[in-house]
Amino acid sequence: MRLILYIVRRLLILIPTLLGVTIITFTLSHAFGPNLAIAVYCTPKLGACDINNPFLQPIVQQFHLRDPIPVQYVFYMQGLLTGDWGFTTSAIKGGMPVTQAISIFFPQTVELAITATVFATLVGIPTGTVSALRKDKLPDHATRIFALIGYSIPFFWLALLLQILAISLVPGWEITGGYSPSSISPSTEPWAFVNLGGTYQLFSQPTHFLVLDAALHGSWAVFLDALKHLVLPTATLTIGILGVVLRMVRSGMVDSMNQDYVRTAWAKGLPDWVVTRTHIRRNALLPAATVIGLLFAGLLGGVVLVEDVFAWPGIGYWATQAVLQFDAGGVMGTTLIFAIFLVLINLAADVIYAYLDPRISL
Amino acid sequence: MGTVTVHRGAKAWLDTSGWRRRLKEYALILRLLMKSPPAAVGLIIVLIYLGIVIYDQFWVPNNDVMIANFSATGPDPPFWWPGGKAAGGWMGTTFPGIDLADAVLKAIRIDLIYSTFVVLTGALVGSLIGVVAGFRGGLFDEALMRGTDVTYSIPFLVFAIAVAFALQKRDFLTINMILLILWWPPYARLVRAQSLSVKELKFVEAARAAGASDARIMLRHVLPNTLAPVFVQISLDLGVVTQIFAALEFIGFNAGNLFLPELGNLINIGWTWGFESHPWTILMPGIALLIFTVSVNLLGDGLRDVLDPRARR
Repeated sequence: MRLILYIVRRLLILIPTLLGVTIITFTLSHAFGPNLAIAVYCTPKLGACDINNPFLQPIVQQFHLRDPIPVQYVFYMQGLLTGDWGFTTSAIKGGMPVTQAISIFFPQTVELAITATVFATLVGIPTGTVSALRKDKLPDHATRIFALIGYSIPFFWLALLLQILAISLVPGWEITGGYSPSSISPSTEPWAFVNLGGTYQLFSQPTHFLVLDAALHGSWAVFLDALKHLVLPTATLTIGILGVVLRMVRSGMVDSMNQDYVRTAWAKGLPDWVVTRTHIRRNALLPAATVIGLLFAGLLGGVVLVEDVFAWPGIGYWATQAVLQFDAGGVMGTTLIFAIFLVLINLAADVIYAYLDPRISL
Repeated sequence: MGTVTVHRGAKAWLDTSGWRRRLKEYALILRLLMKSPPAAVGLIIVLIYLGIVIYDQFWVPNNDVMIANFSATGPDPPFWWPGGKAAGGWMGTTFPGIDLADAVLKAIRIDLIYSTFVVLTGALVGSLIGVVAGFRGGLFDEALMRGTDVTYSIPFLVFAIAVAFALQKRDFLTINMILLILWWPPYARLVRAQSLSVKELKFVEAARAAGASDARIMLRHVLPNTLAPVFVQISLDLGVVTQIFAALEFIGFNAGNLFLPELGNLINIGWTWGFESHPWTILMPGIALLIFTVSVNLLGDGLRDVLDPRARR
């Protein structure tokens, strides 16, 4: 019951935060002149993105772009809430509504983020445990050096480095770039594509994760190829965030190892693994749960760079393309979706934390 | 009354005992820092980088532009590389005929100067805002906390991209301005949290009883006692900001000056021109960047241990 109240309270706090985020994106897109504001909504079909363009007058009317800024904000919010996030020209040739572009690119980003987080957690928790148990011994030093390099290394450089390593170590490995495996085509795998007025964009059905969908449809060649494309981006992100996980787990373990109840547990003769698992690690994992929120924050920044290096068609790649091609709708849409995603992840991390630690939810 | 104030002010400046005490404190911190090998290594490497910056600043001509040689046949590997030639020099050359040893040294200067400027400005502004918020509380404090919540909820790189877009500019100075404007919130939160507890301490009460003004209490009594985590954060942030600079340059924010010596720009050049066959074109600037970020992280961790003994593990 208390947990539900806590969640409700956190959701209420979320409202001002999200409002603040929309104020920022609104300010960035509308406060620097009407031409930038109209560029969020205008489509190439309508001609030049100029506020005096007669073809754009319906948009000017709809979003009240000649009215005072507060009035514009109201209609901007109305657009956001009714699903009109503008029009992006950089996402795909010919452009598409921002909301549609998000539905196509977002799964790819989530796929990278989830796999990297899962791997980092799976590797990080046992390694951090070993590191803490053998404090100041060789495994501990090795882990700490790895963690240090992991959180110091620039994501984009690590991505390039792994490519060099893969080329020189794995025979037959070549830089293919991108998400679309060579073995896949709209004619043989219609489930993996969406037809956008003649251009085919990879958007696999039904889960939108190509690896899973290929397995579901039984196309094992595509499955293996997609898996191969997933290896390097995931490895980059995993190494990048593993350092944070290792540090958190290790310092949490060392902290709780010095607690009185652990000494008591050892004194009453419990076997080592019971003390380690139920007395030490359980308490050490509490802070690690919140770190997942932080991880995602770091990950989403890194995702932009990693997607860029690997030409991975996710939100980050789209954001970069949007900036380079001066696509206002794309920039504002990606900023907004990153912010919403991050806020929700942080909320989830806090709720998990409150669930795990009954002392919090007060 | 006026003369008294002047007198007190002059005396306070002439009185060196306070400065000497502070210097002694710093010397102690330095000694403790040198006792831990990783922190010592970090400090020494940071000092070496600082030396490079000073050397570049005063003794290297044309230190803000990379010298290209368009008649060069292609990138040469460093002389110690398998199959390397003496023409490659210490770090090899990149496209178009840029000597990497020269370019990386210049890039270190630019990266370090700008990131230090950004971090220090952010720390200064953030600390002042944070101490006022923590000390005064009330509406300002609440607004600040909600405001920083908002800035925290957008990934920094994405935020910088969006602001750069709104300004319709993608050059190096714009990135600097953006980072300067956006980099204060973490410091404000740090100092606010610290000053909330510091302001309840006895010496603040004593200062108030002695008739000190709010501003004086904040600046002379509360702020100095909240700075330990700020120093740690500054040293950790130096690496982060340098990385963000490099990252933004890397994804194409160098419109306007393609020959800007900047580590991210150098990596981008190597990347665009086929790094698979010329790995040193991205390895050398990347290693220069990595060594710097690792050493500031080592230094920051060491500082945290020294300044906050409770966090020592």
